[in-house]
Amino acid sequence: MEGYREQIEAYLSGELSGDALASFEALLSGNEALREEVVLARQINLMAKNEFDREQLPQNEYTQELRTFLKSDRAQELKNALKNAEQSYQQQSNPPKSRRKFYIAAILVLLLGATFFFQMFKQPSSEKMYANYFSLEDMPSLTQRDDGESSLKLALSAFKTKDYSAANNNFKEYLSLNANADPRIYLYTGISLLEMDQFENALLEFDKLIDSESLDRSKGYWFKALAYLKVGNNTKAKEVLSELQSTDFNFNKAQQLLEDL
Amino acid sequence: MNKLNNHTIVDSLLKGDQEVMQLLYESLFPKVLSYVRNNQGSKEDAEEIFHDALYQIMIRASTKGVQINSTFDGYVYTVCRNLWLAEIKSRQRKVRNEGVFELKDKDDEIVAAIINQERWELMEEQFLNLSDTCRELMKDYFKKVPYKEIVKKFSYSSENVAFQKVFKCKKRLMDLVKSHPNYKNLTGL
Repeated sequence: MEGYREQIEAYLSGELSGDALASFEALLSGNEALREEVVLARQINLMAKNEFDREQLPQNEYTQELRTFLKSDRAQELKNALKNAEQSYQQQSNPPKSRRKFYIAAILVLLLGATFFFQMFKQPSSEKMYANYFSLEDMPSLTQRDDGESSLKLALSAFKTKDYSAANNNFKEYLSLNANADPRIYLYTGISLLEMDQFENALLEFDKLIDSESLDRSKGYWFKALAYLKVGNNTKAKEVLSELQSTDFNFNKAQQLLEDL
Repeated sequence: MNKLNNHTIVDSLLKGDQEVMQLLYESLFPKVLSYVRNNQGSKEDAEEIFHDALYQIMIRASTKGVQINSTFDGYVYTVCRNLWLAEIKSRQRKVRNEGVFELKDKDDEIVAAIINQERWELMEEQFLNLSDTCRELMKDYFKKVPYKEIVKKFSYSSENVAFQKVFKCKKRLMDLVKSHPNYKNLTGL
């Protein structure tokens, strides 16, 4: 199969066309070992992307065993047991409607009466905590030689003026041209994305810093925790904060924030 | 939940133990809910995913068996994540109307989800059996990092060398995957 490696790759990434495609497909149809190799290579690519190749669902003893079991009374029993647990959990966390109405009314009365009282003691919302703990001073300064209008320079100045979309595009361009770029840039891309409400993508950027060898990698945890705060996921924020070691960046602040949470 | 060992938890699930099931809901569902919500899903989506994940584990435990190498919580979370990622992708395909292969019934869907999960576990397991360099190279390859960047990052002498290295690693991974005892069960091959 060695000789076909490049063709298999080109075929899978859709780079073959015209005659090249036709002749590779002809080759495939007459060569079972090659076909198996292509299927496996495709499976691996899909698995790596966490994609689901439903058309490739095997029809074999194992899937047959699963199907038979799913039709059994035993499977139904298991499903019912799980449903029961689910229902009791839901009832516990959401009281039945009639009673709920009463609770809501009672709570409203209490709230109105106690608004003033609550204002004095209420827990700051996580969004507010984000604002309190987020500081641009915690951002590393990416000093660089003056090399004219580089994309990094443009990115940083856009970031400063809060033009996050321009910042993000320029950072991306810079990163694509510089394979050995300072991983601390991911803090900037992460925060730009966060400001553009692209929470999931922002987390990926912080993870890139955390996974890097940078001395500042612990900053990745700090900002990742703040990102979770911003979307109100205090549990995850706490989880991330507790990963910080005493020598890590903002360890004391992190302890303070953990207490607030 | 982590005080109980995985074996005990799975056993209790198979006995329909309501107390343990409740505990699982209490300790884990909120995490799954916030994951799904943070990823374009609703509370109803999270409930369905969580139910399907536990059911999937119970079905596997009742048939071939399920091997859990992490904490039970971590494992359920991963199963939920994989289920939700598959669901998002299938919704996206529906929106784009790309000849979706519609699964006919719920059983088919469960079987497909189980096979998907087991393939993921197999891949994960064999991926960890690669050398450190191969793992790094494969990560870049899967992320479609251009060869010219791989050349720089790994200090290879040319793109051709990088290409050869990547394919050596991919071949190794394919061999590892192929040699896994569960491989035949999970592929139509």
